[in-house]
Amino acid sequence: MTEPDIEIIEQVLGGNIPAFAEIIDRYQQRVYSLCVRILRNPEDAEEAASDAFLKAYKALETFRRDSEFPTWLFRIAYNSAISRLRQRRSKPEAQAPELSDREQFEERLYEINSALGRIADKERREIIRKALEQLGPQEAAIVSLYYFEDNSVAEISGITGLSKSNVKIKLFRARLTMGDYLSKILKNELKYI
Amino acid sequence: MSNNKDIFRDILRNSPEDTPAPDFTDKVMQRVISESISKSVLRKPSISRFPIYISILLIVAAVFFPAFVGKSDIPKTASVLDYDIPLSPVSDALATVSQFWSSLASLDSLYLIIALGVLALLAIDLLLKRSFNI
Repeated sequence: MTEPDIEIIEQVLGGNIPAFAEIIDRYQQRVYSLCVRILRNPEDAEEAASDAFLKAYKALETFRRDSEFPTWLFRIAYNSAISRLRQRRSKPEAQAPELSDREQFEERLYEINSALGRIADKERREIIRKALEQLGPQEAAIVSLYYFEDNSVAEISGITGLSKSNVKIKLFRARLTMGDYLSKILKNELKYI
Repeated sequence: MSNNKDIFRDILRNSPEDTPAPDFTDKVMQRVISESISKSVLRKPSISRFPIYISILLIVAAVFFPAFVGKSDIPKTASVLDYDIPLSPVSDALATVSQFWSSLASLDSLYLIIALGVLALLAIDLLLKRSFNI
């Protein structure tokens, strides 16, 4: 049975420093994934993830037991990646295409999903990777936290420091941007739907 | 948003999985251990400074209070075989100290105890912070 995070944290605070390796093993993929979506560079992402774990270790004493550890850790990782991004020249947030008809957009999403189902796995993964790369760093982080980490809008607001309505807007814009990109890439497949 | 979320989750299910280098944990742990050597983040001892201060105050009071209330009477000579042998310069030094305490004794001893206690507290406070990070 997996030991709860809080018990490992107690062990680390009690002097069992090597127990922190278990925390790293548990969350490294998710933390790295968030960092790589923001930074889009494996080396930078690894350094940001490493910084995030070190900062988490240093601040472990301040972790409030009544809060969710992954959310707390993602907040540190998000800030770590964003500050690293600011150190280098950051790419501006992508402009979402204008779309007035929401129903039309939702219908298009179903078509895109259906078209993706007819593409080979490897190619499909590459298309999705490129679609994610169309997003600005902040939008990519929000998509990652919402769809991959299953965080709520309120939790993402806590992690990023953005207001809930701002998170919702950025999420919607991200979907528009990705949907628009996928429509263009899958133009040929969409013809047959 | 929920429908949209579901369909997008379906679309993104095929996104490539990003994983860090295999030695990622080892590298981070190296940083963590060197950090822990340079600065402990472990839970601080449950000992509080307050009881230590009270103890110091009591010790200071116990040691110095008799000196303040009684007159110092340090002889300037030692009697050996009925001959008085002067003990200078040691006796001079003791006499000076004796005079100092006598002059202090004329003050209210309580104030002196408090003053000495505060000085001792400041010194101990510095020692605890520097040595034990309490």
